[in-house]
Formats: sequence, C-alpha cells, structure tokens
Amino acid sequence: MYVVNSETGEKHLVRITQIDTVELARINRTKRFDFNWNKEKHFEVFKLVVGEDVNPVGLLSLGERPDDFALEIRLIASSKDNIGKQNGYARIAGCLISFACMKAFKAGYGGFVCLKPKTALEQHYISTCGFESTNLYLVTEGTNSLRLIKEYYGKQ
Amino acid sequence: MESNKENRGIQETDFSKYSPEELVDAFVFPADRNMTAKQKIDESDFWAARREKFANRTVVQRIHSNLLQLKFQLEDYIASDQYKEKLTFGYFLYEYVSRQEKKDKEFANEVDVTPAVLSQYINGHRKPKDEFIIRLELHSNGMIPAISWYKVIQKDKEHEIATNLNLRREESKHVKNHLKFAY
Repeated sequence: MYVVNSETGEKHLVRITQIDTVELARINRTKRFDFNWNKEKHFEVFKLVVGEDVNPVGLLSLGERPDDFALEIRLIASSKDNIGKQNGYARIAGCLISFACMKAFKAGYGGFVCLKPKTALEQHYISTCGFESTNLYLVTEGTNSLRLIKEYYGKQ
Repeated sequence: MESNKENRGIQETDFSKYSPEELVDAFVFPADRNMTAKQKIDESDFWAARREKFANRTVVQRIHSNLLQLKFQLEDYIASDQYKEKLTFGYFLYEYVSRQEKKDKEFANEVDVTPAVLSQYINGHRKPKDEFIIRLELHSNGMIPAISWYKVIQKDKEHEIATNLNLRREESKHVKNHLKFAY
C-alpha cells in the first residue's frame, strides 16, 4: 500500500496500525489533524504512517457493528499538511477506506463498509470509490470492496 | 463548505479552499449524530435491511465471502512475526475445504489426491509437495497463491527448527570442538 508525493509523483509505502487512547490524546495535542479525535476514544482508531516515520499522516476511526455485520467509517482525516493536490501525499483517505474494506472481509462481513457523507461530497465518494448510495449511508461491499483493496494494496 | 473552529482550541482547516475531489482524497467528515425522528426510523430500516440481506446471501456469495476472509486472515498471518500453534498449513487447508462446503472426498478428487493423503495433509502427518500447493493455487483460481501456502509451511518449519530440543540433543553427537565465543 502506498501514497504518492503530490510534488514529485514518487510512491511511498505506508503502514496502518491501531493506536490506543494515550497515543490518540498525544496526537490530538499536536493539532496536526482537524477535528477533536479524543471524541473517538471509544472506537477503534488507526494511524497511517509513511515508511519508518512515526508521525501519522492519516487517521481513521471505525465503528464495528457485529450485529449488523458491518463496519462504519466514523471519521478520516489527513494531517493538515497533506490536504489538497499541491500538498504532501495523495491517496491517504483511499488507503484508509480500503483498509476498512479489508478489515470488513476479515471480520466476515463480506467487505461491508458504510459512511455517512457530507451531502456536497456524496457524488464524489461514489465516483472515486464506487460507493453505492442509500437514503442515509454510502455503502461498499463485495466486489467493489475487493476492487478497492486491489487498487490500494496492489504492488507499488 | 464552511470552516469550523473546534471549541477545544483545535484550529480547523478552511475547507472552503479545497475542491470536493481534494476533500474526498483527505477526509470522511464526522456525521451529525443528532437525528430527527424520521432519520432514526430510516437508520433503523437501513440496518434491518442490512441484516436481512446478509442472512439471505446466496450460497455462492456466502462461500466467496468466507474464502476471502480466509485469504486475508492467511495473508495477515504470514506477514506477522508471530507463530500460532493452531495456524498450521493443515488448519488453513481444512478451512479452505470446509468453507467451500465440500466433503473431503469431493475436494480430494478435485485436486487429484486420495482422501487419505488429504487427511494426512490436514492433520500434519505429511508435508505437502510443491505440486500440491500449485494445485491449490489453480483450484482457487489464484485467490490464494501457492506462495502464500508455501509461506505457511515455511512458518511451521521455522517453528519446528527453533523449538526442536530432541533434534538438538541428537545432533550434538555429531558436533566436535564447538566455538566458545560469547555473542
């Protein structure tokens, strides 16, 4: 899995690991990310780091719904220096979404992942990630989740 | 899109500076969790429909999903540094067969081994040859590559070599004048 340096086009391998509440609070204090991530401490939170760097460039909060056989993406944020086409790394949110899809397969949910989009962005999630729209949620599962995994976990 | 200022002193980005494509590449925004009564009903209906759809998956969908789960669990395991006694080649082979909802005899026939040999592979009484793991790759249509099966076997072997005290005792008879350097 890799992100792309927007300036040079270079690909950089990334790792995604779960973080605990202590690390979450520490990251929150750095103010490198939008939103108050301490609010996510009751959910599974993951960080995306580039290479051997310890500072994350992306964060993901996942809500597991075992009774519904689903994972819900509650929140994703790239660090503030990685927002926009001219800055930092591209593909951060895509990597985190495909990670959620992989996790949803491993949990036996058939790759079912959903999120509640901002209305203005709904069509863009559909066109870039292949989500399907329902009344409230955008959903990916099965073949589309597999496609996202292949796209983002594919060889560098 | 309006910019926000978190009340806990986190200065948020001015999101209005970015295109929707740029925002989608960087964020999934937090959802408004304060729902109207209508939205609560819609949400409840959504999850009820999800549960029903999951329960009514076709056999093919269920098998496909179960095999993908196995593939990713296997890939996770071979990528990790951990050894788990339960997760042998035989375990994953058993799972591969049973998740297709097939009898051992039927599967053995599909990969051209006898049921007895398949049983030996599953129970760890016979080491699989390269030919067999290639057959497994072909049988799965590439979903689980031979190299993944090989890495599970290798992991079993690494553990065996690292922990076999009897073999160490036995082989010590054949070693003379061993080095005494500290390391």
